Amino acid sequence: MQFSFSREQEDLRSSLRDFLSRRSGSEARNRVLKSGYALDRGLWDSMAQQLGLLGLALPESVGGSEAGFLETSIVLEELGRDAYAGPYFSTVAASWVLQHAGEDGATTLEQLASGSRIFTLAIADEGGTWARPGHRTTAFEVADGHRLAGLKVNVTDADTADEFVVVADLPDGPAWFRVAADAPGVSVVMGESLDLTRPIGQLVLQDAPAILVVGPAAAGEILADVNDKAAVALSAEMVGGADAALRQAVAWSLERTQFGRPIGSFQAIKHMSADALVEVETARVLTQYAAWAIDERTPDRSVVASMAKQAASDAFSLAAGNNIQIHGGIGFTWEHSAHLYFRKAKATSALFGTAPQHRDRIADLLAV
Amino acid sequence: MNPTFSADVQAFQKEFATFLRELVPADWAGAGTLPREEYDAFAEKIRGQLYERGYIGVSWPQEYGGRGLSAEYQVAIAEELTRQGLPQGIASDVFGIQMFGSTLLAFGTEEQKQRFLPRILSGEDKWCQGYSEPQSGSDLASASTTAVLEDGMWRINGQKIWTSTAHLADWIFVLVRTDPDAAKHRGLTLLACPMDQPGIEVRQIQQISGEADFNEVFFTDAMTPEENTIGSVSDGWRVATALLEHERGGAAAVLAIRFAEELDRLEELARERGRHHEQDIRRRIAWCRSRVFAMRLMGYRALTRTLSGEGIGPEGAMNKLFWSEYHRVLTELSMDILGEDVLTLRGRRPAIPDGPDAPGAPTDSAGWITTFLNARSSTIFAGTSQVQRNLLAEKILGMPREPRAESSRGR
Ligand SMILES: Cc1cc2nc3c(=O)[nH]c(=O)nc-3n(C[C@H](O)[C@H](O)[C@H](O)COP(=O)(O)OP(=O)(O)OC[C@H]3O[C@@H](n4cnc5c(N)ncnc54)[C@H](O)[C@@H]3O)c2cc1C
Repeated sequence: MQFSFSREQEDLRSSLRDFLSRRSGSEARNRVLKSGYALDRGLWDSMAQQLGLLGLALPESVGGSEAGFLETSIVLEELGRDAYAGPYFSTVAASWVLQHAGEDGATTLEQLASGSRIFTLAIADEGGTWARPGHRTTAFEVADGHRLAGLKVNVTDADTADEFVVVADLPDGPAWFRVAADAPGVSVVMGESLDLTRPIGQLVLQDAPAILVVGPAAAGEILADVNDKAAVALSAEMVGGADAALRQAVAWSLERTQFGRPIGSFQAIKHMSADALVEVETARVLTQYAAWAIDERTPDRSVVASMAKQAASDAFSLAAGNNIQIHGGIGFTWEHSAHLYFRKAKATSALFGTAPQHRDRIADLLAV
Repeated sequence: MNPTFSADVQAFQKEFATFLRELVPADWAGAGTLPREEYDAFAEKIRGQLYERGYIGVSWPQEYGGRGLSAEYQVAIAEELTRQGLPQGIASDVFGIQMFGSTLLAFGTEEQKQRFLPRILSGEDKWCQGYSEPQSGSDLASASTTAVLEDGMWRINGQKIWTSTAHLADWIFVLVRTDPDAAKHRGLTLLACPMDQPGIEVRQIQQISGEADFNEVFFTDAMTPEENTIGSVSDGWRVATALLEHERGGAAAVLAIRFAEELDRLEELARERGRHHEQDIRRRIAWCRSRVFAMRLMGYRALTRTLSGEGIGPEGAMNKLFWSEYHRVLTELSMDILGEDVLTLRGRRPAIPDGPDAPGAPTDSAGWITTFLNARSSTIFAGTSQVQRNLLAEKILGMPREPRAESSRGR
């Protein structure tokens, strides 16, 4: 029985936390609030090349370090804590599909691991979800490959990505394709994203040239796998974000004085914080177990992935909401990063299934 | 990271399961199917059989009747008992084994361990916990029951209250004030005191469910020998709070499996009543499943700490808050599923007065309604939810204590 991270995993966490506080941190958060989203390319390259974060779970042959999903979840938790503004989740999620590409995939994965190309997933059609994308994006074969036609919605980091990993229907069923952002017939329409650190857009495909990554035989299974992994990855991000919001509230409660005492000595504030702590720890243990379950491919991994996602969504919403309340007026200002987390809480909850949707899925999987 | 039992423990658990199956008939559907009046005697009987085969207190050192196995085995045993529909011990085991025994192992003298521990395991001695007083509940350190040492005997005067199972107990561990002049946390001592003596009077108190599982305990010149002092004189606060950690912390992993079994019964109830297709009910059940699984993992996390020699510390407060608040929500859900059937108590009442009922218990309304009423106790005993939140805020989050009122500072 060892329900804890190893020494190496804890080292990964602390070195990353240290790196982020130097290279990203409150300065980066303030930049997002002041000037909007802009990818810090230097930071991205360091994350990829210096720290090897993008190839963390990829084979050595493509420049990766063959660590597990558990390690990836640690990275995501730290990025979530930092409210990191960049396409890490999107790119790593794309790698879960690209890994199945066989020969052709090697070069793509090398580009992904080195950070030189940015990827994202484009799964849901209009009216579809990540779990059930719909059948409105179609693929047809041409002499030199495939062409895709359709519209993908809620694509994360759509304007930053160099390449999209897309679900589209072949005559014999859904399959995965790769589409370059600069290919003819590809355009992106960005929305106004609730999450200031994760732009959301639509991908418009008008007979866009595409490369088949995984055919219909295996595509469904991979989609299910991507949904489980994404749920846990986003849970890890939310655990980090929730913990950051909780700690930010506590730090302020020690600093701010009213009625001659720190507001953190008032029980109303202490009990809100204790309740948030309980929710964060609930989400933490479920996420930690779910990440392990994914590495081990245990039979319960889909259920626990949903358990983690709904718990992390609740925890982040509570902690980030409390954080604004505990800050009072200053917490309601644009300049303060409290709303950065509050926005992320709601937006991240909605990616790859909301908390109620995941509870439905738990009930289905457990045959209630 | 490997949240599973080691191969040795798994083999042990398998062997234990085989042994348990021999104790019950082939069509055994759980102790909850027994008539309620027979449950306590059944629990005693099974416990006796476990004791005979050395399955009680396996993690205690061999010289005191244990097997010197790791805490992992203890959890494996408790899990298997519930899985096989058997009681996890008798009511007083919480006080004897979990609280007093664990504390004695840490603070007791060699002579005390030899004298008390084997009799706790055998079930010869049943223990109860004398902490709370009419004027000292959450503010336990203000306890005013006194003890004075005279010729090698402590003379105890005062009153304890809410003392669970005192009417069945042979011994009480009682928190007393031995130095009236010291600051309030510094003048306390923990004593072991025999119950069967003229200086002790026990009066049962009826609870909201109608049952009477807790008591008032009056001490009028009650006596206990000096050698029954646990830890040092005036060090009682440290000993008493260490004991509370055992009360709050260790239970999560083994409780979770009982909660999981209870949830099976709740699903059964929903199915019986055709409510399991309702989205609201399904979502709430899914939430409960997640909660119970998280409880199990928190237990495993605490177990990991125990195995590596670290204490559970303030996380015990989190586990206690977590499961007790969960159980309130779960029992509310059971009431919603029962609908207008909550109006009357029909059928069998629970055999266990706090937490989930015995495994395999029927889905009768009297069972769920009584458990619903009893769920209100667990957010009060072993430190109220408010007290746990204070502890979490102060000990884990580092938030300041509240300013004390002048009159309660010192004594
Ligand atoms: C079923 C049951 C079994 C029990 N068994 C035992 C037993 O075997 N042995 C034993 O010694 N005791 C036992 N107890 C007693 C239990 O430990 C006490 O009831 C508990 O500590 C609360 O004390 P109190 O009842 O005096 O309430 P009080 O301390 O008076 O509390 C009343 C209310 O005030 C709140 N409150 C008090 N202080 C604070 C604070 N600082 N901040 C915020 N809110 C506060 C409480 O949360 C509560 O809501 C049992 C209780 C029950 C219900």
